[in-house]
Amino acid sequence: MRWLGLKVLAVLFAALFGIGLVLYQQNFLKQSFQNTEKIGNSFRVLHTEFVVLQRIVLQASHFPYFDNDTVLDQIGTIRQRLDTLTKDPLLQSPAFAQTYSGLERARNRFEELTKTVYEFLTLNASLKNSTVYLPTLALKAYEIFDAHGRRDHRITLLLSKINATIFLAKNALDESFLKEIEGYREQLQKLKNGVVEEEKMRLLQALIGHLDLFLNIFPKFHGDLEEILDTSFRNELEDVIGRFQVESKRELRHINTVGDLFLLLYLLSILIVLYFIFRSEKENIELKRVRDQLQKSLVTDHLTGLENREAYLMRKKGMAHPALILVNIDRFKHINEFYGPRMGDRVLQRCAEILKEIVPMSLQAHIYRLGGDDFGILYEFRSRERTERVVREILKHFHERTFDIDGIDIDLSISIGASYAPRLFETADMALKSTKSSKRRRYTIYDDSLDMSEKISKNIRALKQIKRAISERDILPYFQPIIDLKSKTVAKYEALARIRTKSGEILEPAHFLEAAREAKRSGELTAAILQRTFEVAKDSELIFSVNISAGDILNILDRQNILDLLKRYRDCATRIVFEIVESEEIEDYETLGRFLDGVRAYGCRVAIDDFGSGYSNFEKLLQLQIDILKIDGSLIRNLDHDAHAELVVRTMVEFAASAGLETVAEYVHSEAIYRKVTQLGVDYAQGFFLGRPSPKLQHEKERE
Amino acid sequence: MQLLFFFLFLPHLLPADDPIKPIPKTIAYNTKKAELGRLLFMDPRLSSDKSVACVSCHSFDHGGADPRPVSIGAHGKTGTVNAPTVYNSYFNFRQFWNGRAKDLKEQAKGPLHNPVEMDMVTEEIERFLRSDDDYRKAFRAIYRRAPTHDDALDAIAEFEKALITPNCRFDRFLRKEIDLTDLEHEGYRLFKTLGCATCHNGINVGGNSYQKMGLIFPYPWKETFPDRYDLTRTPADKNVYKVPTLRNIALTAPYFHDGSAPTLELALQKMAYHNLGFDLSADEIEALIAFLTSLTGETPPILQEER
Repeated sequence: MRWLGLKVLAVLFAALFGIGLVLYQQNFLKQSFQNTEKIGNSFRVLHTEFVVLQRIVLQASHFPYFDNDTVLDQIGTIRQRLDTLTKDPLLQSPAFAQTYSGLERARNRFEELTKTVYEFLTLNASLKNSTVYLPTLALKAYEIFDAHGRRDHRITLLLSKINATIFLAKNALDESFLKEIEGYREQLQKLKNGVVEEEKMRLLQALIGHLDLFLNIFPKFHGDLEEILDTSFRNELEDVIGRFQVESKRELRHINTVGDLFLLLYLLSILIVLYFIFRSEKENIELKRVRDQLQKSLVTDHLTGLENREAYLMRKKGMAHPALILVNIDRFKHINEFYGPRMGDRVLQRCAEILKEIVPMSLQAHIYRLGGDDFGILYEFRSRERTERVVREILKHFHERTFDIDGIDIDLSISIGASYAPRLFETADMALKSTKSSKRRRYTIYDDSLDMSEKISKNIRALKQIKRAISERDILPYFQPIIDLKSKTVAKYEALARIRTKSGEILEPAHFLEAAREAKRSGELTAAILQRTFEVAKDSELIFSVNISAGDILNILDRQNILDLLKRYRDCATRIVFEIVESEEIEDYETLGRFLDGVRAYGCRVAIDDFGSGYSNFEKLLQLQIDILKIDGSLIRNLDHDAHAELVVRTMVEFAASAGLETVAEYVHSEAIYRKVTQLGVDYAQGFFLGRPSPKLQHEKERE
Repeated sequence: MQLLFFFLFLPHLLPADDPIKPIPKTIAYNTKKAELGRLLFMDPRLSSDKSVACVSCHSFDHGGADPRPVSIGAHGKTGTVNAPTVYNSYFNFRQFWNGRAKDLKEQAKGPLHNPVEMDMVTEEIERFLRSDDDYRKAFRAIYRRAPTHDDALDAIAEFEKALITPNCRFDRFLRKEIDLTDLEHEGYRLFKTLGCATCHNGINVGGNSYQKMGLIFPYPWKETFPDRYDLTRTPADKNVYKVPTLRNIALTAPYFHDGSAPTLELALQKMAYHNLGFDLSADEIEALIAFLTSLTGETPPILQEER
């Protein structure tokens, strides 16, 4: 802000400076022209004034009556003009040195001329005094002298000659007449000697005096007049004017040069302004670049170069119907631990590259790294089909190749969840979780059924039910008969867990079992069912099988509870079969083995439930000394028309037979299946076709 | 430009007109300075023995001139010159008999410092002026500083500028306000034809050139005469003086630089003898005196106010 102010000031200053310079130069030039004009004019007027002075002087010499003031006034005028010019600052400047020195010389010359003029005025007055008075004397002489006397006549005649000659000499300014006048003076002097009359003598005396005066001063008078009237002063003035013209031309050239210089300065100041503007622009561009970079780094994931969650959120805000595909690397934690975090980073980078490569351009999608090993693909939703196509494309790319990362071949598998519902990320994440929890599906597109929040509230309700049911003995065993396929009789019952709600409704395990497992309460259920089964078993000779999960067994408390129950009902413990549900991978075979050893000590037998559904480790299973294999219902269900399933079941039966294990077929829901399993040599069977689960035992029902 | 040429050629367009011009009826001057100048002009304390003022030798009762042949200064010292009139001296082209001062201010310095006149030096004048309350106030009011010698001269000159004598009969004739008497007409004609006007012309009827006294018959010369020779030491300048004004000439007897002519008649005869070489008749003198008397003007307005 401060910089901006300075810059604005600088620009303003430069602009004002430039305008100032131009105005100054304009004014200076104008002034110079005016001054030069004024002085040039003054010189010309001075010249004219001097010519007028010469004229006045000439008049003074000719007119009998003359006012000397006019001469003095004119001298005053010229003197003042010379003074004014001498004091003019322009002429005093060094540029006009020649003019000034010429002017000084002219001024001195004029002062000399002035003295001559004064002398001229003196001489002129004396001369005029005589030339005016001589005719007066002549007139007087005509009265005094006798016109008929010979000498008197000669004298009056001489006086006439004298007057005429002086008139000529004076008016013609001709000195050659002086000789004649001198001659006349001699004659007059001679004639005077003969005159005796006092009056006549005095008149002649005066006449001679006047003649002497004339003879005496006329040459000087003539010289002065010629000096005043000659052209030397005028020439001097013209010389000064000439010098002035030369010097003023040079000065104007000089001023023009200065003007050019100012123009140059002006241009320079504009250049400076341009420089400042350019620099500030450059700085702005640089700032903008840095800002963009900062902004980019804020919304960019440094590792992969993809945009991050912030960018995702910003982008999503502006979209009409956003769709999001979440891609998660399976077992990334495992990769990180196994190969090290460096490799993990390389894997993430590679994934980012692949995603950029394979997401079709037509989608106009943006790809983000949204978390540790989560990638997001955001685009405008158009159709579910298109989304599915893209998802399959991505999966195909990942699963059809092995990735060579820094020389190490890694099989990457990914899971995908996609959504175009509101709460986009949340729902896509639900879909992803759904994929993860499924063993076969590699992708899930969200629909409302996946809404975990619904499931969560169900879970919470279920957990509350379980808790209440345990404390209020509302956990009920339902018994499903298991038929011996050889004898066609009920060999034993499987005790299945049911919860009776407060309102008396009976809930099947689908409604609560998973929640119980997640909450680690399935052990309590198992114990409750076992307890109830014992209660039934102790009053009969029947065999019962009870479900127990590997998780229950690994929990030390549950394990102990079960062993305690066996201890309590030791008498009927021999008629209990534990069905280990292979719903999750068994990790701790040792603990499992020890538990099974424990229960066998009470005479219990052990079955593997849902055999063939998971990743059963045959060797480990055999080591557990299993007694019974319960073939997974999904294999049995379609047995009547699925040749592949038949082959698997047949193999299992053969395997069991050779291992000395009994086999049980579940989900026998039709006669066709029944016949099939019988035909395949399965030992036992259960299912809706043979008997639904019921709170009461079959023979009791029959008895009724 | 047109106007300029008009003025330049104005003199040329008025040939052989009357060689005498009337003085203006009024003249512009700085009243305050002139009033201060009047005080100084009348003040004898400006002389070394406090006896002589400017007015002592330029008497307002004698046409601004000295009725004595030569002036008497401080300590009773006698001068060598008859004081010329102060009236209309503003119109003279130079000041003093030999024109050695270029203007009134420069002239005023002369008598103040002349040992046979007021006999003062600059420092004394200033000391006196500064010691006097009235002067101090007056100078402060006009010149915005303590009294100085130069400012005093300036004030005196301003006062003298105001000493003009307008509306003499002849000026009024020139302005065609009145006609002259026949005698006066005759005197004016003689004044021109006898050659007087060749020297006595212009606004001041003289005072505009230097001329020699004794063109035909030499005027006796003395070393003490205040002539041009006194300045130039050129023999031809002996007895050459600034032509004195003839205004108020009837009031300013005695006449000439040496005060040697006690009456106008004698003065006329002397001039006729020395510069024309001839005597004037009684009729001629009567006519000339009538003309010269018509040059007597009114008392300067600045002096009238007093009365």
